[in-house]
Amino acid sequence: MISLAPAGALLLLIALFAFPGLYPWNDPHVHLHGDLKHAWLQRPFFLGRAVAYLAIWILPALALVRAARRQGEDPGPKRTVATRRWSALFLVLFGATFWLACYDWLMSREPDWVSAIYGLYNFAGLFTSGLAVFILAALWLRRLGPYRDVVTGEHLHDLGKLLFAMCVFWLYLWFCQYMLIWFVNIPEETPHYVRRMHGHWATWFHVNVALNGVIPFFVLLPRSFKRNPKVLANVCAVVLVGHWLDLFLMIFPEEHGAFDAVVAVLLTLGAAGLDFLAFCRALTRAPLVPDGAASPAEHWHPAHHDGELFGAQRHALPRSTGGRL
Amino acid sequence: MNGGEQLWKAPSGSRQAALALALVGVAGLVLGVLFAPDAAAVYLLLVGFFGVCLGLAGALVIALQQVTGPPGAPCVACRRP
Repeated sequence: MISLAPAGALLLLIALFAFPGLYPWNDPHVHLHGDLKHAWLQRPFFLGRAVAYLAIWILPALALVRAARRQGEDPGPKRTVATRRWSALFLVLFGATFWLACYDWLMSREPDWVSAIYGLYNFAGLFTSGLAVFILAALWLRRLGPYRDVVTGEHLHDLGKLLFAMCVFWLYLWFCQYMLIWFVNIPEETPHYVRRMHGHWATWFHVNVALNGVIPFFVLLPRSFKRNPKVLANVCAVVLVGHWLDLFLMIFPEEHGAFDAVVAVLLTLGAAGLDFLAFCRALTRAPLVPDGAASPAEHWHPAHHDGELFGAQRHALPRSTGGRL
Repeated sequence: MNGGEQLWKAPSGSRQAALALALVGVAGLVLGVLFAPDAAAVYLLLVGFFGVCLGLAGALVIALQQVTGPPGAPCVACRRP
């Protein structure tokens, strides 16, 4: 799945570099309130940050995949330490920068609007849609054969529960953001929702909540539906369409004519094809079920092996770790 | 040849369909740049950000699994919970 990130980054960079009109603050006649905002939203700095965000996400993520594949070939402590280090580095870098990227790329389309929960809201969307793709990929590989004996009903049940939890989390954050802005009711914040709740946009506004929160909530409540591959696949498809719509509402394109819809459909289909090609290509680079890896139901517990218990292997650990994981 | 290579090299309609979709996307980009540049920019931003998010979600799943492990899982080395 990580192979989707470079393909997406390519499309994103084309948009950011080739179309300065995407952001109103690129217009010198637009006045930004606040010195910090004015300094932050300068085009060279903005583009430099965009390249930096993508680099510090994608490079550690690719290193993490490489380390995890080596761990699959040799599940010893040395490989485990390397994979854990890349994991920790990726988590810290991602957590520190993702909310900034959301502010830059999405929220700055409306530079006078601010929401403190925006980064977390986008994280919920990211994880929910990623989980939906993860489940669809597992179901697809199970139907084709490689995962027929690997992905069981128990796995589907667990994945369904996780998807249910993430959809509820997304709905909670959506409500928090909406309710606080409605309650405070100040002119800096309310136009964001006023624009999206009038005219034909109101329909999409409500469909968004239904696709991302209400439908998954009620469909995934019964145990039997979480274990049913067809129901789970349909819910995942609904969630994916829902998060495309959520991003669409966040970006809030200005309307210039019916041709816009044609461009939207063609580019979305094109991106789906590109992502599917990148995903299938990545499947060929490592065994789908690693031979030497620990079972997914097992884990390495460093606390059990601090000292004499794992003395022999401590010498195999890098010196900088002090013999500890 | 691993399972993924078999899927990739098998005479399946999926790859051809994905290639066709990618070409449709290129056509959409060209048409958009020529006749609706504002729409092309917005939807490139949308699909690009969406793709990056999906890729990052994959990395997050691996990283979280490596750092935390499945709850209650036995240790690989000594089998203790």
